[in-house]
Amino acid sequence: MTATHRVDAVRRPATPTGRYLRATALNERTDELPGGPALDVFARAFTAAVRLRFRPDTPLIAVAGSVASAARRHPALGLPVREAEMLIRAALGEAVPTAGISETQAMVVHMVMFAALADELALTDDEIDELIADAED
Amino acid sequence: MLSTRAGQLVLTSLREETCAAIGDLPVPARLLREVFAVAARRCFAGRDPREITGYVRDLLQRRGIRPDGADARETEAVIRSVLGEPELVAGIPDGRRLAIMIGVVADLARTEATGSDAQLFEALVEHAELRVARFDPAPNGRPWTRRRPR
Repeated sequence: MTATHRVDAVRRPATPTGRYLRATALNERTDELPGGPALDVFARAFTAAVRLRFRPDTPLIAVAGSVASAARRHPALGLPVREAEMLIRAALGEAVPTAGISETQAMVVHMVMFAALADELALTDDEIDELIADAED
Repeated sequence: MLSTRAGQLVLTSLREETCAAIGDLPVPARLLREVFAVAARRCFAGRDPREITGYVRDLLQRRGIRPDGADARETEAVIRSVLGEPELVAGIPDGRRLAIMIGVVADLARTEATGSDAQLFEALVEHAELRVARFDPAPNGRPWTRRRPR
């Protein structure tokens, strides 16, 4: 294990959206529902997880592999795979076709891929909390 | 020299850049998918898939189609599907896939052509006919899979 993601003073998710995302990533039940402008938290947490997991020059086959794996793991959620890959590549700074992706599609991608990438990175609960708390700031 | 009726229909579709000649006939559609696989692999195999993103952007711009939306995502997915990522085309209807294939093959043939488009189209279809005959299972199975009589 590296110290790359070591966290000294852990902050916890402070919003319902942040706590919902945490529950998703940890595969826990929650009665809180995300909503409102706080949904931006999903997008920012997703971007942070993408940049931890991939470098801008990562072979696309690795990106596509992560997306395919997440889609197989959560078949009921209908992860839009083409849109997911493009949103990941956009988060890495690449100019890719992302026009016309609906808010619902983007939200599913942000949420499912955040959880999938946190799992691929084997992040601890504290590290996940820190990522989400950063996204809430 | 094209040897099949399906080959003639695919050639017509490529020349006219529409699916009209193929319609919903399964054999020409199968042959068109093989033509597309041959063309896409000969142009993109072994290259960084990000080059496909750039190619698709240029292609759509040349055709006056918005290059940053769903058309671009679907076209890139259809190309990459024959380069080892078949899951990318999930949810794209068959007719849409065939239309994308015709547009891409026509464009690649023009880009790569050293002679006329027509000659390259014919060469591609012939190559695809051979591959279909070689790799598609015969209706009664391969000789080595047939059950021996007891």
